[in-house]
Amino acid sequence: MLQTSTISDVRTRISAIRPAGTDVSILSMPCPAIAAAARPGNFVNIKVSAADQPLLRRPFCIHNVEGDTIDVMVKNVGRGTSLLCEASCGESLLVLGPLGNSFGTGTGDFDTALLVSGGIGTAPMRFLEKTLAAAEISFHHLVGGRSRADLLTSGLSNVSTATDDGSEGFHGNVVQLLEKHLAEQTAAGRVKVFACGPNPMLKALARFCRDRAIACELSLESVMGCGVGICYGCMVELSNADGQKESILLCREGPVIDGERFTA
Amino acid sequence: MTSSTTTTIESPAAVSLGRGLDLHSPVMLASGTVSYGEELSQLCDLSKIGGLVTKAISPEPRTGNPPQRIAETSCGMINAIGLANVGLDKFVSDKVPFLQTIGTRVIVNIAGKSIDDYCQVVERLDAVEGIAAYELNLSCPNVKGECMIMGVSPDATREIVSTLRKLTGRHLMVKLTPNVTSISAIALAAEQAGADSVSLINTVVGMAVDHRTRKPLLKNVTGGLSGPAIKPIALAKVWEVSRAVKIPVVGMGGIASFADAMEFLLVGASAIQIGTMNFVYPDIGEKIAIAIDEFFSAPGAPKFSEYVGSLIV
Repeated sequence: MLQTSTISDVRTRISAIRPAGTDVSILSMPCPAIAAAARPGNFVNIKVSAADQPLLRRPFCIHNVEGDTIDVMVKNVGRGTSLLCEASCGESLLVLGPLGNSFGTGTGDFDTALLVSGGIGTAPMRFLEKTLAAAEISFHHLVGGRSRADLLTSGLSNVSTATDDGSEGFHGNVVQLLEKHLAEQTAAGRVKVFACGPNPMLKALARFCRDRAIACELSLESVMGCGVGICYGCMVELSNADGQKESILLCREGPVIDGERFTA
Repeated sequence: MTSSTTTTIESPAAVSLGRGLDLHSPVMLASGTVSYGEELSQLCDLSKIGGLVTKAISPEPRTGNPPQRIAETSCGMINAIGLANVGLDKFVSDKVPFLQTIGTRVIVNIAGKSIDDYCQVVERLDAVEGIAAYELNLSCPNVKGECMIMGVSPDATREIVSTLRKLTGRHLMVKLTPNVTSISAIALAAEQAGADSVSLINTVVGMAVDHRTRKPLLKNVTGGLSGPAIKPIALAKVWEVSRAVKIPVVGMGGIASFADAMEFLLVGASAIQIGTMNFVYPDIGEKIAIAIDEFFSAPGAPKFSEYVGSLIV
């Protein structure tokens, strides 16, 4: 997990917006300074409108970087995200980033990356895939959702899917899907899991990896205010395998944490 | 961004709040919205602002309240952080060295469970250079049975301020809560006990509920409302208090623009603090400080001291 140093607050305009699934859109925005400094796992904090409402910025992990342009994947879950999903090209936004730490891809201690995600948790995986591919590290996506409509696999390669209702791919959850693939993957070399998704999924996944001594990094989510460590609003309580509790500010010490620190 | 000491260039908006708290700009950044300055210094030129008020310091470190700690409400937010802070020792060893380099006045906000706690922090920090003033947090709404108790009682306010007055020669600013029947009665008690200034308002007790889950959004159930939503309340309280006391009043509550800051000056604030909006626009303090400086530098502009409290009613 790497720490970011150069943060910029960029006034930009939406250059493209396209649907990516049910209530999910991908927004593209030219942000040269952020694009240049971004690492997979980083997030940006976006002021959606100049008005006092919604007041606070909204955090989104960086979905993709293409030249000077960054993409974010937005699921419509409330006031701020609905404004973004319904926005038009050319609308002005203020984008602060890159923020937070990033996935540890350059550690050299694994041969294959297993990118495990659920629902909107697939958002950071495209940028992660791109970074791994550029470093010629092999990867395999395991993408889960409740049903076919929740799978956000567009733009990804080497994907296996799982749905709770069996409407597409493996009938079950992504942790079960990982179990199914694990023997084949570990036979090919050392694996490391990079994951993002709902907390129950991440807890089950962290336990699964811990029991098998598999390296595992998780990108967590929290309500966030400032995104830079001044409001203290995004505190997350962690607990390691020894039962020691700790609390962190997710914007500053996350969003990526070692799976060892995330026990139920 | 600069490492120079506080500039002494004569700014037309420079203001002295008494007992050595001389500000080169009337714009300060409010406690609990700037941590200890490091994060913000990457995004805002802190040397442009008049003062930075640190996160509340208590004798021992505090982790604060469990999550969820913040929630957005109409034109504002509620928080129940619970005075999370690094504690006195770590503040002195890890945070003060940086604060000594930022080129603006450092005001340390202090919170405690008892008068002894406040005394302990002041006695220790009095030996530390680079601190211009203490802001006494007698008014946090999110910590049960602690400092809020003092801030709602004139007698308790008088007792703690007079005790600390005997301890320190530094400027004492008392932060007031609006969650009382008479805020000016508390302000007067602070003034009589030797406070050099009062700052107001702290957050307004508020609550947010999700009807679908039937649960409060904050784990603490209630929290402190801040942001533009509370500006009208803050203006009314600053107006009231500035007419009740002779010591300088520092106004805050939802300041989000140059115009907002000027409104606080008009109703009687000699200086202002920017709080919640730092979360939204990290460089807002610098921008408002520059705008105020430009306003009072313009040909024909009123004198700053004459502008303060010059509301036409």
